Amino acid sequence: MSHSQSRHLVRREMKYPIFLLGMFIIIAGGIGVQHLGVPVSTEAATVALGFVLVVLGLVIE
Amino acid sequence: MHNNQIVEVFSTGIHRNLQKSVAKYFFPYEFIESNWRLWTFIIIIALGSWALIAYPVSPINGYIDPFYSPTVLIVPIPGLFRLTCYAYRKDYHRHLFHHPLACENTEREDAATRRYTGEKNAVFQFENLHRYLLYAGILLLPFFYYDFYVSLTYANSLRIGSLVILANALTLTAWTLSCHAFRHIIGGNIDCYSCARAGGARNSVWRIQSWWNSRHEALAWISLLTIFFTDLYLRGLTAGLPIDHILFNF
Repeated sequence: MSHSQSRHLVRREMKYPIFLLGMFIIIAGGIGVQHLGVPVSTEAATVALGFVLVVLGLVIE
Repeated sequence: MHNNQIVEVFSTGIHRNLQKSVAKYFFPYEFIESNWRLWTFIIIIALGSWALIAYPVSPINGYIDPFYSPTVLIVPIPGLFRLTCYAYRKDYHRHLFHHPLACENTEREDAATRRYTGEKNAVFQFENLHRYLLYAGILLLPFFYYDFYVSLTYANSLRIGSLVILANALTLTAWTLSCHAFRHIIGGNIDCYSCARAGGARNSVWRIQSWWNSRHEALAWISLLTIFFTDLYLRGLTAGLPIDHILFNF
């Protein structure tokens, strides 16, 4: 297996966990922390991070 | 025996028993094997559904959240339309079930014991309902444009939030109308365009739709992300973030 092939396989294996982690951060970070007194800006940044991870999980191949 | 080997023997045993019985038509391999991908996804979806119910977004400044517009009453229809979409089918077979990984791929080395059954078993036959769910999906589209209209008339102005709602309506329209089943309806079902009534026009429309259809997978994900973005945008507004501005008044 060539180096580029193995990198492709690693990326494909990471694709789904990154997508899943992003979904979890959006849900837990965006809604769950409402009860923890976290500032809205921190909450928004957390959700934005989750959104970026979801998109990253979708586009890497 | 290594833990992985135990799981493998256990799974193989289930597969062997299933192959002998009619149960395989009702409980596809994909749902019974030890598959962390599928079950973590189901947990995330359950958590997300609970969060959507527990933390609703009220209409704010004339904006209606797509998850909480009146169309939410028939949410199983767009939900099933999306679940049976060809683009998502490819993705959940590859990334959730890990089977098949690709066309003619023997990487799992279980092609002989665990053949891809397509839509033959009772569960995956539901995927064939996609062509009928398309009609319901098309009927829902005007409601998203109505939400955009309501947001415009609320303060007689065009605001950033209205553009977000419009983007949501447009991406949903692009995804729905680039559907493979729609391609069949508008021209794919014709064998001879020159013999059919209005064949030339239908061929032109079919060609345009085919261009969009080849991007159906990207549109499926973009439209889903846009729904989530619209929801999060309105949650941000509700939380008091200064992210909405008037672009111009009518």
